[in-house]
Amino acid sequence: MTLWTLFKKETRIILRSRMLLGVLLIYPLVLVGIIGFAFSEPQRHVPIALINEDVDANGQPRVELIPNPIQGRPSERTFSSALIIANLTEIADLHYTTLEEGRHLLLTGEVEAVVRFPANFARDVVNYGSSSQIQIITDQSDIVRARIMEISIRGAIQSLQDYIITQKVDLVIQTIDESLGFVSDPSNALYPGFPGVRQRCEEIRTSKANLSQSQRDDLAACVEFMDTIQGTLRNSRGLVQSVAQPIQVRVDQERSGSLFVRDLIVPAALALGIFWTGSLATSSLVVYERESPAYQRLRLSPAGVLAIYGSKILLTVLIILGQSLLILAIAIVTWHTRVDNPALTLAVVLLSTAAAIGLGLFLASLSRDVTGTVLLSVLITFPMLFLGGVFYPVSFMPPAARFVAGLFPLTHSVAALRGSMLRGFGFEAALPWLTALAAFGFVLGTLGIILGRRLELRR
Amino acid sequence: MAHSQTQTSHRVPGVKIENASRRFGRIWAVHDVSLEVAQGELFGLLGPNGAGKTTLFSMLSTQIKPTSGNLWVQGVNVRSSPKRVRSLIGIVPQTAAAYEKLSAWENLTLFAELHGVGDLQAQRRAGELLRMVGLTERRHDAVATYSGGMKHRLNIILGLIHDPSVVFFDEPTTGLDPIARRGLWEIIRLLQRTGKTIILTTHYMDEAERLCDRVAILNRGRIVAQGNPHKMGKSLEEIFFQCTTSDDPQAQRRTS
Repeated sequence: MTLWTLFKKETRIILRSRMLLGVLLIYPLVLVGIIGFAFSEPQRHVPIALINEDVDANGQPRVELIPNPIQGRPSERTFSSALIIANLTEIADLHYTTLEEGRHLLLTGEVEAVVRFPANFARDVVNYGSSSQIQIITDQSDIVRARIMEISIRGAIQSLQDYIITQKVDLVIQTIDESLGFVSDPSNALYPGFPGVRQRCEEIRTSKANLSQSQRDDLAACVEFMDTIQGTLRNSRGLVQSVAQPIQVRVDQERSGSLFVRDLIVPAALALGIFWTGSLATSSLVVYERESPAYQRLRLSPAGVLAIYGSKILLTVLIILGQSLLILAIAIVTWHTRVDNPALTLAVVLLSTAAAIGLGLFLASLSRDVTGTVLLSVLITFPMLFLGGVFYPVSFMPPAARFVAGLFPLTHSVAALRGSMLRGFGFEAALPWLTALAAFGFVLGTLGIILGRRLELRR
Repeated sequence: MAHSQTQTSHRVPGVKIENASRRFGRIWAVHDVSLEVAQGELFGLLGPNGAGKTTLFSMLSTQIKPTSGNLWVQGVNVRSSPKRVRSLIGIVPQTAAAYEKLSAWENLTLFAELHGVGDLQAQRRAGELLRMVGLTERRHDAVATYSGGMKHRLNIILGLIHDPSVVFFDEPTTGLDPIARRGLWEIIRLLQRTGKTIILTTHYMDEAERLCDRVAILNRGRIVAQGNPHKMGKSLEEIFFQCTTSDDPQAQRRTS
């Protein structure tokens, strides 16, 4: 009864505090909206400056025939810088320019990288005795942007690298086959080839009656030798390929479906919303009450400490649950975000809420006024944001940072929500995170109430 | 009797304090204070800043425990039954103790509910009290929109919503203009006529003389003078200055 009475009072007060309501409810929703919009599609049109010095008299990318490595004849297979440029257009808007202008555009931020094809690029690539070099220039003053651009451009080039190797290997194999007569050569129909010679040796050995046993044995050895060579050469494709491409990479995506970056961000944004609202709402409500002259009257009423704190906790839980459901609904309906294990997701939301409220009670016990509480809340939220795995994987951090990250409940909440929503984790797999969140809630909440009571008595 | 939880006499005093002391560190804020306030009496606690009035108030209202001694409200021991005492007392703090985002009506019904007053009775009582202090028309407006005088009036009736037997007023007229001050005196007299025991602290000697049946002057944690302000021989102001500036240990004996 007392709890319900105080809950009604808290609800009325918070509904009439527009600023607090905005910060608690609207801000996390806006945050999720912005994040969802920002990461909704991969960026396809990153501006890149392109300098192609390997062009013909008409300014078109020079096309080179890939030659036959043994006979020296050009094949029908061709290569050109245009193939790489076509790949680059998949990820970038290309600005054809000069090297000097490209560097200027890079430093002014108008392009994200500069790519330069040198003169005779295609010729050096197709020739067997040479190689060529593509120049990539990035702005190292923004190391993350530079690294992302380098990886993207390397990816576009790598697929052509594989293409040219495959073409050359095919040509080598084709040449071996034609040279030894394993396949018929239309230009030289009379050439017996390796199989023809072997067949002739076998015929002589079996049909000539005047051969000595020693001659027959020699012919048999020749046939056997030729069989061995033939067998070896028939495996030449594999042999050459193993030299040219000793490592081939196959990427299998586990549980990827059609994940976008925002799918990874939604659980993190959900966790962030819980901790933002939970810690700020609880601490603000507690400190606002403590600051209010009416608190003296409330403390002198029959309402106990449990009812006073309980009403604020109950209201915060309801706010967070409503907010989380809204965020999830928006994410599911608008972006088709996956929730592989709804029951576990709900459990994580509840335990994260408990941890966030515990954090809020703890913050409230450290500050005497609402301003101090908000400052403390911001002081805690920002390191959590950067170290909690919201944007950057905790596992990539150095050991000391990983240790600090483990001290933040947000880290466990983000990991647990990603596990339950995207990786289909069960309760057993998520147990360490669930335990950590429950422990944070209990320890911080208990400490907060005890220290808060001491603070009240000192006033 | 002195240490029993509840006084058993037929007509118990509204407030009884027996050798109450409270120490903060090495300082005795209240030292060996004894006094008795009869039911229906209007009693004034006077004294300069730091005399111990607030500490005595806080002990009586169960906010802090005495270091030694005993206090009773309507015969109920403050130390051993603080919850029962809270239901018997009403507090009117110096600053308006109301939730500013809520209306007067919401504040009144909130504290009525917390004190276990039934819905219908709470509404009837809230209506009566609002009428008494002239806030009926503005009852549904947020307290934040009230003038200082209106907040003061609301502050008083918030302390009365559960119909307490004993009401503590802590410097109720500080900061009020003369008209509002006189209005407040009327309310306090009205309450006294309803039979409530009233204890008020004040810095204003004229206020104490006009309102109080009896007064006690506190200085450095001790009662240095006590009696009916109209039967003390000198003006209350004169006695106050004498007691609080001369350090005369015989002051109480002379004036009582």
